[in-house]
Amino acid sequence: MKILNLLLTFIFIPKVFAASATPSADLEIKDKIKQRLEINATQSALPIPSIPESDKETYYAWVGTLTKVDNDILYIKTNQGEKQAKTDSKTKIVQTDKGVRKDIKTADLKTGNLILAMGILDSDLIKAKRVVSTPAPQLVIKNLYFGKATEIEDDKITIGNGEKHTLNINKNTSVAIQGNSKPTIKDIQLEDRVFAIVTMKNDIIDQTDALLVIPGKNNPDKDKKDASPSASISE
Amino acid sequence: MRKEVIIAIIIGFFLGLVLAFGFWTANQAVKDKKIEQTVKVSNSTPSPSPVASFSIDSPENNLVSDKNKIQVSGKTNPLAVIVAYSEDNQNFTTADESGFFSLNVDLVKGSNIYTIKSVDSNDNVKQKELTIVYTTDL
Repeated sequence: MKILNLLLTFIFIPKVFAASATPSADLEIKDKIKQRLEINATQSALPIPSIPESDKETYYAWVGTLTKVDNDILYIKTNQGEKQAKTDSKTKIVQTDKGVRKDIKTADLKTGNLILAMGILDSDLIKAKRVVSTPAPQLVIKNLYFGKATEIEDDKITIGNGEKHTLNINKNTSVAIQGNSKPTIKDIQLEDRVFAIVTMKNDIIDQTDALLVIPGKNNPDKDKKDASPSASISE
Repeated sequence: MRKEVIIAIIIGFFLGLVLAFGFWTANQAVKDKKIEQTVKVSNSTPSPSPVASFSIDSPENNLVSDKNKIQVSGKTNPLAVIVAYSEDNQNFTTADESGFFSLNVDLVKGSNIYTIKSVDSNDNVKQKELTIVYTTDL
């Protein structure tokens, strides 16, 4: 019987402690929260240093051709479809033409011009802070051609798996070969995989701007490929 | 002396049982919660969506930047060649074995409309366009 009493005591004592400990712990937590709130309230009463506008906002832009101006709304034909930008009295509108810049008003914007409307994006509308208008520039068409090198002759490389393209290489052509830190045109071998960025004129290749070469089976640089997994160039 | 030892053993045994029961209950509760979460997730996505084979994660399209360089990163087919070109600049890189890539592109003042192409080992081409405006006047 004594043993049973002892056992019951040990089993129930912790429950009693637990039941009595919870309200006091709650009170303690409540006090702490209260104190923290009071501290926060005091702190928030202090002046908060102002953050510059430029640090707070991310700006976006619509770039394209101005098709219509309707009061303060600009309709811009972009490569993502027609977009709208809203101007207001604070919007700075600049026109640039042949290096000359001048401030203009919304009504002075010319349709057909290239427009950059920059500001805060709200749904699909840009609330413009700055608009730049320039006469529509002459379009530069660039293209990518790639394929295996099938012919290499001095400064000409012919590439293509089916359709062939002949690329003229000159001093303005940047060359990058995977695994080769000092690439020249002479390092390009037949069967290399060649990627060429070219400028087009009247639907034909006018200038080969840049080449990226992935060495093929005939190129000794192939073994160095892993040492330099990426090759990058820029003008 | 003997009696006390026996009592202590019995108490210890019961305490051990209570503790074990407590641990078991807690474990069960955690397991149930995990299963519930898994069910919730699978309910929100009833069918697995196909993995995009070419995506640009950064920067956002139509972003205005006040820097003359920006890092373009994304995901495509493993080891695909990535080519980025605009009217004024171009750059290449290759994706890693998981398909992740990143490359720096130069920006000229004003609009920069980049065409970004991914060419995989089977010559399949995927393309995105990225418009970025570089200005320090905002």
